[in-house]
Amino acid sequence: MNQLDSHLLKGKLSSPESALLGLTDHSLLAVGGVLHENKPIALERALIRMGVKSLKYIALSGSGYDLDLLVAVDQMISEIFVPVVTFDDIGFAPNYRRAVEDGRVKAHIVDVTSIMAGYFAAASGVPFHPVTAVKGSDVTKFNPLLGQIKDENNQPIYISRAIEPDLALIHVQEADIYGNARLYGSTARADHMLARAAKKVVISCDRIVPTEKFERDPMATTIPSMYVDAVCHIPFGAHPTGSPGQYLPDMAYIKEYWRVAENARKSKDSVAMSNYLEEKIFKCLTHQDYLDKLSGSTIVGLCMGDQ
Amino acid sequence: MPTSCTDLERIAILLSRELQDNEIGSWGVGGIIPMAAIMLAKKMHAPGIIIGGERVYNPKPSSLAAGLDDPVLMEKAEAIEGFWELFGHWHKGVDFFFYSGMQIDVYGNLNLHLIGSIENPKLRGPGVANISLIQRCKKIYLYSPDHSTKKFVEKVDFISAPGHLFGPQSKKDAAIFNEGPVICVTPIATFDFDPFTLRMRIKSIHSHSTFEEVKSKTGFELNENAPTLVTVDPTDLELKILREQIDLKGLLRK
Repeated sequence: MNQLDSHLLKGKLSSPESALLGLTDHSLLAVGGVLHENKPIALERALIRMGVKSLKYIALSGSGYDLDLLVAVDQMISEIFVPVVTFDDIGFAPNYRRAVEDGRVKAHIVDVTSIMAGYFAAASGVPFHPVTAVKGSDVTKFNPLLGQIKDENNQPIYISRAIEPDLALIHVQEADIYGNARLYGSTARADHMLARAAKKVVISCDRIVPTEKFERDPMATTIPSMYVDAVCHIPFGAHPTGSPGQYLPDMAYIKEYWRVAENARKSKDSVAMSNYLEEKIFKCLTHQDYLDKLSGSTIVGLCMGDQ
Repeated sequence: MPTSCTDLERIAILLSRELQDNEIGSWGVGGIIPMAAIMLAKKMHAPGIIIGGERVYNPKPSSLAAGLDDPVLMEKAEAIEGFWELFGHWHKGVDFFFYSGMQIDVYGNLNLHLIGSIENPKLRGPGVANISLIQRCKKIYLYSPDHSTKKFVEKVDFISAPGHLFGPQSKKDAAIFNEGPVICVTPIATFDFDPFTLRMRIKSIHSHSTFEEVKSKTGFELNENAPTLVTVDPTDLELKILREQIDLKGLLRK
């Protein structure tokens, strides 16, 4: 087998560690998915283990568990550009709150139009995109993503500058080894936009499928391979968030995390939080280690749709 | 005497009565109450309501969703729209949308970001993704699952989403032209807005409460001399449909 053949056979398949190699401190990290759906948690765990520092984190609409976890890691996140950070009906995000209130992390005040417009501008190769429905809010006063220009009638108009993340992490259900990807879920088209906007794109997929599957139904491809730099085959890679059509979000797991984090916030005692990170993240050197800590019945319950 | 109901059930029922047939609208993150209100209105008097403007279009879930990413919303829906379609809804608006907040002020401005100052926050809240629908939808329904002087204030610490700002002139100056917040339902009263000042006022007081209670739990001034109505209690039929056909898991009874 010559070199070319072996490249074609392997495609862009990669371990998380080698896919993420080269990400430097202070980079702008963009994360796909929303809240507790399609978050690339296994890739984010790999980032934590890499020990990269002072990242700027951006996500389109809402983040919960994944961002709160990254913020819990000492000095990993320095700035945040996310409209909503919440655990939805469970409560506020404990580590996020604590870090912002203590002044350790700068959480910029932004809204969802400005991020969407910024991704679109970067994806389209234009310097900015107008947004107009942001009037009267204090968010607009403080939002660093927005600028103002004059329109042809000399009236001021808000614009969102192009947002070009250094690295985008996106979780999908199916991909081929070249990076063609099918994403089920409500952020499919937003994550497609993000893939086009970012300088480097790493995807995690629950399943690897043959390219023929995409060829049979090209309309169903969410992200064509040209936008993808590396493919990490990580079944259950969104856990504890959900992967639509594959497994539900593991709300019991997320609630347990929240309880540990909320207790740490209230008591200002980080020992239990550190122990949690040590046990659940740092001691799991591979995704296999992580899966081994989940029970079979938990996995079956999430995959079979029982609630 | 109607069957007793919880505060959350009462708020959902009172909101449902405000909804009009054939209008298009939706709700945001954490919206168990508005979701219940829409489903109830569809069964009671407004079967033609279209749930649109958020990601899930006309969902027909088997039960209430605990949150916006609850998979129950996706199990049966007519379409899923993406954020780029939502960008259009944010700018063009739909007929109605629901909002709530950590603080709600007399003009219906909402704060979900912080208590204290931005430099020195006593509490950093979740924020709000969408500051656009409140200024672009025809009507905004506000609600609050609790009623206290901390929640209902004369002026919010931070305007996350603009209601009527500081009255008609300021709204005009900010180029916000929609009707905006029309009502705010709480566990003890329903507020509406004075059409001239756009300040919140009592529309009706729920039957188990009194003017004195509402006054003592509200952080802005209320006119003692204005005639106030008693809210029509949730009916047995509304409660029965809510419990037996919509809130099967009893999320509003927790």
